[in-house]
Amino acid sequence: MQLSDALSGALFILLGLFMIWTASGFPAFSGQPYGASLLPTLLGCGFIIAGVLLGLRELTWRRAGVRHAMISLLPPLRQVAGIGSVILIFAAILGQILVAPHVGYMPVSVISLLAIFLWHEVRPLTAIIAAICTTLFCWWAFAVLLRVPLPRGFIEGFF
Amino acid sequence: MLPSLDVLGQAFLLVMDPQVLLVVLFAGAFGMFMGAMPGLTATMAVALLVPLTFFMDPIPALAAIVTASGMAIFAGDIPGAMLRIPGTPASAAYVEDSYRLSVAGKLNLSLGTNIIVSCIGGLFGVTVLILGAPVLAEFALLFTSFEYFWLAALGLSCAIFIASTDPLKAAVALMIGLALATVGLDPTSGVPRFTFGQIDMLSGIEFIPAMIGLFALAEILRGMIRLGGQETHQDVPPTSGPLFKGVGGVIWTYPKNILRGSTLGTLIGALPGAGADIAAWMSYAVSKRFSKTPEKYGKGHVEGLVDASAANNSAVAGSWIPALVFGIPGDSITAIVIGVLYMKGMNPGPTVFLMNPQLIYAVFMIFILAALVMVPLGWAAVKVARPVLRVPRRVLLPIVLSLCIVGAFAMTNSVYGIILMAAMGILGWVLEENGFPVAPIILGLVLGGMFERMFLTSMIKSDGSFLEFFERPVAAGLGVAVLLLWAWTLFKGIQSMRARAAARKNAA
Repeated sequence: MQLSDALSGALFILLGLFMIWTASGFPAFSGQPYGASLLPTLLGCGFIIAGVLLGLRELTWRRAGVRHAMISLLPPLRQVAGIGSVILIFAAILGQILVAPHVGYMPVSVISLLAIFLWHEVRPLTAIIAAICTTLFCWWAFAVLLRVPLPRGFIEGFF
Repeated sequence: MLPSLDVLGQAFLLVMDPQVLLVVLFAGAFGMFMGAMPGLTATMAVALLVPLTFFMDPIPALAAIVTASGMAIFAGDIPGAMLRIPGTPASAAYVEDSYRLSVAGKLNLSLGTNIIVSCIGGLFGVTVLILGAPVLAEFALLFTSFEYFWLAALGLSCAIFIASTDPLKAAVALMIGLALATVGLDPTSGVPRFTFGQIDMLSGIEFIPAMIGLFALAEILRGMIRLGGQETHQDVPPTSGPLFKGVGGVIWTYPKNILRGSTLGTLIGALPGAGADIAAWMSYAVSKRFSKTPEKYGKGHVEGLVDASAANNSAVAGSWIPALVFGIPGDSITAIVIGVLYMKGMNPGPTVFLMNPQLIYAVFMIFILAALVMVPLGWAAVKVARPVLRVPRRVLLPIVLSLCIVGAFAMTNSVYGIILMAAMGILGWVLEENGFPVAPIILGLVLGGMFERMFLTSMIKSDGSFLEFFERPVAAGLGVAVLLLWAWTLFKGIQSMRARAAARKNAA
């Protein structure tokens, strides 16, 4: 997603205002005029200034006859292949966040890798081998060697 | 601050531990692989390695990072020479020369020179690190919060003005990093800030999942949406004979270039905010400027390759100088290193030279080992590179995605690490697609805590008076340097605006 400088500037101004407003609720050190709110407030002001400068820059370009769309999709994201890739990447991540705690790391990893490989036209046999080997390697390196508590799911009763 | 023989002996024993040597070997091979694969950078190699180092003792952990980063920087030259695709941005400066040499049947000369010159550059950088860091550390012991505040400000300013083509967007990226560093319990008053009631966020933005997201996931997203069509590789003609044949002659012809590239690389590396990429570009430009045959550059000439290859590897060691002495990262890799040092209880700064000198000298020895091991590992990497480079990105990138997910999970032992990585990945991806660099975010995230602590301490000490920020001589010097840097950038900005306005008027 590409935003014009004016739009990203406006977003940064909003972020700056939010930071200043939230920081105004942080308590100061006793006997000192400043404390936990000092840096967030300064940063909030910085975001507002930067947002205004980005807006002015866009204005200068417009005056020179250069126009950018307020918001536009990247060219690869206008194609099914690009959109599909992004969806599958986030599905793989969400799968590990939402599904893996219930069914385990391994099945989610194999299925999501397989889906990504096949989407990118990797040959089915290569895709299956790569998905299984990658999952087993990650499990071995992290869960076995480093004792990271990756969700075990269906293999819980095996070990 | 000269080390005693006892300290050197202890450091030597720490490095000669078989576990450390094994880690050096594996991290070297991993770094070679990551650097050689186009699209996977040295920073990404280190980012993926950090979750593993979390489970190691300090010395093997640092050995892994030092070796992997050095190897990846060299290995970026391999696809540059074979496919005309630089493996890492640090190899981009001389990719045209490398590739044309290979097409002319001089692949071995090109890569052999890269290996040997990278090794010499690495050794030069580490020599400066060994000689310079303890002296600077002794000097830095006299520093107060004012000097540290200005040093942090200088590091952050350099990240904006030197390492970026768009200072305004780099400044925004840096502020995002600083803002992220304010999330969690305020270190001085213990007030929770921007946590939105989430317990996980009380400890702040976990640095490693954030970095995996910003550097690795964002890169995967960028790479995978552009994977359409079949990937084709145009191979260069195979070259027979020994890899290092003719390299001695090149080194004999260009000793000044090696020295110049190494010196420039170390200096640029030591500059906060600028790393191996900028070192390579600048030394290539300097080499061309002072060459007797500048017209040959970019057409398969080995001279620029010698300068830039020495520079990018010496920069790796150079960037550790401000990281170890002041706790201020020289580039994004040392920003990660500082996070690891804190994690291992080796708080970077001058006192680490007093408290844990054996660890520091062990790190120096690892640098030497990593530079030397580059020659055999580099030789092996070149020999196996052709089939490995045929692994298509459509297979490689999903595998790296898997490593990112488990790596992020391992940092928090919960899905919070994955959520953080995903959020940072989206942020990094959207920002980069809109022209905002992501390296300043990491610098802000790493330096944010120190910057705020030193700023608040100085404000309390001076009772809010900014004049006291300039009362000590070193603080005044650093403060003036920061102000001059800002003034110069403002002046350049106004000048370019006037030039644009004049051009428009003339066109009208």
